[in-house]
Amino acid sequence: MKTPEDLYRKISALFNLLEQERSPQITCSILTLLDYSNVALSASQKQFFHSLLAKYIPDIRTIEQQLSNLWKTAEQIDRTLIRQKGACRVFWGGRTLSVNAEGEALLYSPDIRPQPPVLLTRELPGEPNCEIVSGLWAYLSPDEIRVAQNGIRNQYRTGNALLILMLLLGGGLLAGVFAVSRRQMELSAMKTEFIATISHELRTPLSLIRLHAETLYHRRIPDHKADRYLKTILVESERLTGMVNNVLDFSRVERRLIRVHLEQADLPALCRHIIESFDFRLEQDGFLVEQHIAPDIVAWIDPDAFSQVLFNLIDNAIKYSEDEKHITISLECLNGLVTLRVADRGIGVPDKFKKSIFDDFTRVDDPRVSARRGSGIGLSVARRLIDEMNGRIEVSDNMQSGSVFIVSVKEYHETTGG
Amino acid sequence: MKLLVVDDERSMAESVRDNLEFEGFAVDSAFGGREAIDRLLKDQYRLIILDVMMPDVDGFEVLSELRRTNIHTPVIFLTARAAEKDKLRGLGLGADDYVVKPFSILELIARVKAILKRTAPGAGIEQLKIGGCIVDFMKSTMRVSGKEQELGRYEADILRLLSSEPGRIFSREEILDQVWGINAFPSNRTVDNYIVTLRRKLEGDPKNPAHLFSVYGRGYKLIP
Repeated sequence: MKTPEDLYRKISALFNLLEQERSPQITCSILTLLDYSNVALSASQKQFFHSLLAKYIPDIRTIEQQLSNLWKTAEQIDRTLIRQKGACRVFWGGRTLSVNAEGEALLYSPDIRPQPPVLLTRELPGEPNCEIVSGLWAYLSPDEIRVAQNGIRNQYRTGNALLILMLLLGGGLLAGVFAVSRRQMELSAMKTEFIATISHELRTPLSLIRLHAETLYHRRIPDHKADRYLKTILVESERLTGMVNNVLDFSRVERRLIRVHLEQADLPALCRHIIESFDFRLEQDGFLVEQHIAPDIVAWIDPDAFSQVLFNLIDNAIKYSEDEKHITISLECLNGLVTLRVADRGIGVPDKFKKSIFDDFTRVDDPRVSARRGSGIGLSVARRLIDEMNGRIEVSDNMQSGSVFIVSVKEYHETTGG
Repeated sequence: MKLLVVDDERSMAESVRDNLEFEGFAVDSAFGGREAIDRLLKDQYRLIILDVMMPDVDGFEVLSELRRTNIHTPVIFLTARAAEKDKLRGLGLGADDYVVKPFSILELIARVKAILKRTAPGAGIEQLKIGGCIVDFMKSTMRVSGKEQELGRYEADILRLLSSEPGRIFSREEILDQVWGINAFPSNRTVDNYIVTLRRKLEGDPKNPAHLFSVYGRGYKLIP
């Protein structure tokens, strides 16, 4: 909005709407334009509109006070954004959005009219901030949506988007202000996705346990198969435990409660034990497993945490293998550094994901990955656990194909402990 | 005709298969979408139990592919995807049922049987007129010259099958497969015995049948 005429035009349009519907949200929109726009109005102009508003809305003072509080808080969070680039508008859905100049020009458009709701997630997959403001699109034409998307995208990229959500409850206003960084917004959407995925993930081992137990209980298989059924129940219980541990560890990481208890541990024995727990699944899925576990390595680790890391790495190696079902697990110690390698010949990790794959909820953007069950926390939990053990985890390409996950931790020294 | 169980989790596919075999069904299993499509293009199946999330070709794509190639075998999705949108998608693609994991195997089998019954040849026929005889499948009775007689389960199923395509010759093996199930123990002679009983009930002169014909070396056909 560049001139007072623009502002007048847009305020008039909102008053027309107010004529049709005495809504506190429209009132907020007008107040926002009067008091917080980047085009200044004279005191007498403001006074005129305020008194006009009071005729429509008797409890205008309460709304003014609420809005004023809201903006004070918002300004504390990001003064520049609001004063120089931002604008505010309260929507019928009860949401207020701060956007940049492009958005401002659009949002105060006088020809505001209801449109069928548009699902924004279809328009901007993977840009969760837009999902949050999807209520907006109900009032915009497709062209306007495109302009707004560009505005939001630009702001989104700067990483300092400010969302102001106003929840209108009954006649009063309950306002909350959230400054949301780009990463936080991404994480918020990822968490939602994670909840959906993890509940799906847990169903597989759970259903296998139930199916096998039920079949045994009703004696629906010949006796010679019973052992195999019991073994499946055992293996799937372990798989379920691994998944639950991941979720618990992840939750502890989130709440900064993760604790590892470092101690000297017989790493070859620990590795063999974890690999053994996969024997049945590996055999059933036709995997060839090569083990090169050097003897007598004592490391300074948390055995439970390390087991969880190895569990996640082998689970991934199985999950992301295709026709070449070959996994190599090696453990060696050189110059005080213990290195564990889990190599597969699966679909591999593209270079651009080699770092971010260890971030929360990150999965490689590949249809072959999304077709497989996965919640995107296994590697992030592994990384955090290894960090806590003062170690390192990384991924590189396997020589043949697929990937090699490399974990390094300190060897135990009697004199120095870790 | 066999049933096909498709799941990339081998334990799942094999255990569902074991359970169906326990019920007397003949079952094949496939461990991926591509393998399932190959089997379905090669062999005929009575019903498919199909997982959704599979690494190569997912269950939704398998069903779309089948329907595109005009294969209308009944499908039950058996999947961990519990969201309403997934159920709507699966059923919208033409699945006959959608079962979410974890599930009760007894319930799954009950659903399998219900779909097989619903989609069996001649399943929609309630009444049938054969010459002067009226067969009521709902009541499992047969009325000849005003006199009502009970119709046994297998007798009714044989008549239902033969009347699904009047005039077509059904082999003894086909009748055994459709009426008793391929893994059942009756011999071909069992079919012959039931045909004799049916002729006694519905033919005026069972030795010279006017409706239920034997075709030497090939099987039986019904001409109402």
